[in-house]
Amino acid sequence: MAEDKVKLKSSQGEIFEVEPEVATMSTLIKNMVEDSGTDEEIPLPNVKTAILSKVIDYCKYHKDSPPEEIQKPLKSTNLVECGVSEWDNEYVNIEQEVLFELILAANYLDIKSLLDLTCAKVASMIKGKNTEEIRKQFNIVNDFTPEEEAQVREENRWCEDA
Amino acid sequence: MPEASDERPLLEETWLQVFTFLEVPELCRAGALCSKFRALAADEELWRRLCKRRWAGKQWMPLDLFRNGDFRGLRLSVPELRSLLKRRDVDIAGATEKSELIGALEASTRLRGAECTLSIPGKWKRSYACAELDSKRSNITTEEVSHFRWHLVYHGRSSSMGFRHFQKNGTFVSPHFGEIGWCLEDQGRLFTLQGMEPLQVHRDPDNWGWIIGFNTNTEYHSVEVDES
Repeated sequence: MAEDKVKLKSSQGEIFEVEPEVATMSTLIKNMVEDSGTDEEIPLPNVKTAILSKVIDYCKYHKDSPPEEIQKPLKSTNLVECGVSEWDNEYVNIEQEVLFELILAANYLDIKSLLDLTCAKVASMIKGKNTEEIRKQFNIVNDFTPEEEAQVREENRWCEDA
Repeated sequence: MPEASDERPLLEETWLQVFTFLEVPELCRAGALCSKFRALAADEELWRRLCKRRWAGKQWMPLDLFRNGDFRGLRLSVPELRSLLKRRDVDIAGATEKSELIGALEASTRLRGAECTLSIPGKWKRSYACAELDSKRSNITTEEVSHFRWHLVYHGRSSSMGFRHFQKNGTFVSPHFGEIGWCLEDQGRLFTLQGMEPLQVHRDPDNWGWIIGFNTNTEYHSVEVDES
């Protein structure tokens, strides 16, 4: 029945009508639906249309089959080898900019398994890279003074071959 | 930290969540990227959880500041100082001032080769690092011998006479010979029961426990005791 659906409104004003079981995978939406029902549309001013659509894809896929826990720490840069399903692995095989937007949305909407998946993806991009490669990957500028640089090296000496 | 033009930066709490998926050397590398990441990767709650993860199933590694840690230069609370001193078997019955506890802790610090951890500013990261270095130590201390109970495997068979306890005062009540003495030699690399051949001390790299007389007819395996 159409009136049972939850109406989600993206920051650009687009409305998505989704099954309650799908929408309430987000703890934020679950709480809002419990408070004020499904008559009103739910505004999500922090989530753009493209990202909301992608989040809904995830929730639809996982509504009946919650994902397995992801291994901590990751033993491989290949997430499938760390307990992530092929579908989920493909799902986060996206541009870094979209991945970051997705993380912000998962955080805001409070969808724990999606946040875990996207954070694990970022971690897999850090794994197996040296400092310069990681800086390049994430646009990080080395702002250490030479003294700080020496301190950091000293602080980490114990784990170099740990 | 400057970002690409239209890329919104991740929240600090999100980076902390990312870090929980990294192995420790990778986390240390992440902390060497820039000042913001250095501060994030030093997060004490993160390191406490890493200690919990790493120390699970290891012998005499309760989720508490590492007993052999070198905490010089860090501010510890009175309960933390007392807990460390108790596990180091230091008598603090007469100590009333915090400064006395700090002095007693410094005097009882004897972890060798841990100077490189002294620049670590957090007590949990320091604990993690010191425990990691100490887990490679292969000579046992008197406190450790008397802390554990010991499971005897004689000619490949488990003793049915219960766990052995080598007491702090250097005595051992053997089910066969009555009270005899025990001692450590060669700085804790050899263990000798009175009237018997010295046994080599061996560290178990998997559970950080000990095997005395490893690969001989008389093996004593350390066993955790309930401290309560």
